[in-house]
Amino acid sequence: MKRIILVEDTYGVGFHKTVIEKLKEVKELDNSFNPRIERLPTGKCNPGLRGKVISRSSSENAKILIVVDTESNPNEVRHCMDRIFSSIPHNIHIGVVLVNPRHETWLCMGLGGDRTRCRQDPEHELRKLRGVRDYRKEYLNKWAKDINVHKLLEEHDFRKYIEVLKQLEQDP
Amino acid sequence: MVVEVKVFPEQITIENFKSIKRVTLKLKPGINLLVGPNRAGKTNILEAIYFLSKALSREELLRIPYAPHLPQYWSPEDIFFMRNIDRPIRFEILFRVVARREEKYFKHYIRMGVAFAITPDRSGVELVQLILDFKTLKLMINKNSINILINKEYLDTCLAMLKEFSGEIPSALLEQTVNKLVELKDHSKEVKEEFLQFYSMPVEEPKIINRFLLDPLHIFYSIHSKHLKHLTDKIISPYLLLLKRRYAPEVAVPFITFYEPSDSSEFKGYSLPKYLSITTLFEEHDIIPVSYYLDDIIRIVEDITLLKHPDVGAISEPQPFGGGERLDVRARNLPQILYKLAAEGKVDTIENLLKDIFGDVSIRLRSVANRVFFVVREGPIELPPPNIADGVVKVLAIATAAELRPSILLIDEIENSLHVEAIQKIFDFLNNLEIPVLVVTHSPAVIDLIDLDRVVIASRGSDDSTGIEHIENVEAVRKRLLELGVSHSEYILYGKTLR
Repeated sequence: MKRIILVEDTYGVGFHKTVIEKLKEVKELDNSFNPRIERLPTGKCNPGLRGKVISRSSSENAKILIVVDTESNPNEVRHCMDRIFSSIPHNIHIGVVLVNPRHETWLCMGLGGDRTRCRQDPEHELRKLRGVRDYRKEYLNKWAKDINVHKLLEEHDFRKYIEVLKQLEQDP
Repeated sequence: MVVEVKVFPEQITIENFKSIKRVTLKLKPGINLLVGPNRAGKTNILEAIYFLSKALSREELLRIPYAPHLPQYWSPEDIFFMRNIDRPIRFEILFRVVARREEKYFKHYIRMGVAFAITPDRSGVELVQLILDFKTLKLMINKNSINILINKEYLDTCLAMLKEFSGEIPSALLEQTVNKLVELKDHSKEVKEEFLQFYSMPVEEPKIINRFLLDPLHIFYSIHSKHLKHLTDKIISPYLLLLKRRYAPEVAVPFITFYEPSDSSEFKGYSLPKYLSITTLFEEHDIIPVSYYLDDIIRIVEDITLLKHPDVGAISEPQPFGGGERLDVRARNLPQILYKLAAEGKVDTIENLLKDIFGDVSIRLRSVANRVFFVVREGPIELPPPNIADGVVKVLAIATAAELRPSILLIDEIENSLHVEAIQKIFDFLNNLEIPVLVVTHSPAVIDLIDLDRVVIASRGSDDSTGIEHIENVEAVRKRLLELGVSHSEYILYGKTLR
């Protein structure tokens, strides 16, 4: 069984690796859980995504979790994902988690930012929290180690993420 | 109080360069893809922008003779559209200038136009026009004249501003300026043009534009009002430009910049660190100071970088210390530049990208007999330059080009020597830069990574000139492709660029 998590960019890969380790520490996930985490091979609403995702497991069974940002358009992104993966082989199971509006929201709340402001303009709140002039995408990966996951456990989208991760670690 | 300023080139127009009759590129921060069939003129677009950068560089302006077409082009005629030297090569760049003071953002725009023509003896090219359009004021330096035009919409504000300057400049000069503005105001209702000629003076100075570019304050100097607050309900920044006597009778020119409100999403681009010191001079004022000197604009153009596929052979050779500040188009001076960056402690980002893509791979800079080179360590094994994989050299070249903080990064055929996984990581690295990165590609893997609104399609038109097309109605196209199950690369490569 292949277990793969696909995220939007290279910085997201490091972020999820760290967050999953933290979820193991708080016993939300089993210590043996060790999925591959990769970058999405295309943009999230590109129909070319289907072929590239399916080709990651042409014969073997696979569980794939795709975590994407809504950029405040959850319906549109949900529609894209549903459409792209409307027909997939039986050996592949795909789960999708939408982060609203984007991963920086989780980073922001995990670092202790104000919940409302982290949902509205996470980069601005992160700049204030960490005292940097400009937010850079690489901070998603770099600052993930300082996240307190307890601050995220009540968030709807993060709960959904944990739920799908648990499905991913189950056999078959 | 600190005011930071970032400048972003939103739009570039190129006219009469090689296969290009006229194209206008709209740029966004991060990657902008240029896609099209072979011979469409994609590389010519990159070369045109790079030519402008080289032609306005200090190094080239100081060179005698001034010959910015060399060594790439053997004859100056080669760079003119259809080799027709009757029409000048023109460029126009629209810069968005955004200032941040505490958490407030303000912006204004500057439009720069430059024209080149062949020299009378046809041995080279020369600068024949430079225009700096600040919306309120337009400075136009031709080969033999200096012209200043004022937007008639701002005549009243200019007059009000001059009252603030009384006592700071000679009264005769002030009176002369006021009289001229009043005269223009009386005349303004009769003319349709947006700009009125405030001043025009023939200049008997060879290469006046080159001199201006090398040192604008050599010709103009500016004074800022020490007392001025808000003149209108908008935030303005008033200066007075004084033309130096050497070139013409002294003239005082009201120079106002209006700032519109902006936000953090527009605060992207090339940082002007100089502003930090200048703004402290005016911190008692409740205004955003203009703070830019005209030469900042020129330096931004100078800091454009073009990168083609690295010349691996040249890079493998040990090189003397030095090598200039700019990365060569084929990255031939990569060891020299890396050596300098390492000495300044600026290779962390480069090393991190290398590790991210290739795992346990790092570089070591070496010097022997006054020459520098780099080796690559793969775990315990050290690879000498000729044994280093081309993909590693390519990644090093791209990361180094970015580390040199260009204002625009131009990359030709980014995919060469790179596996799709490396392409994805390089894509993310470049796409998160604040500057525009204009990338030429034939790779479906690259096209599929980008949003359709960042794709520019190049093609040859019926007159064999290069044309470009930005995809319109991106939302509708995206929806249609989703319905059809057609990937973005299939749409671009098979639907838009097949002849």
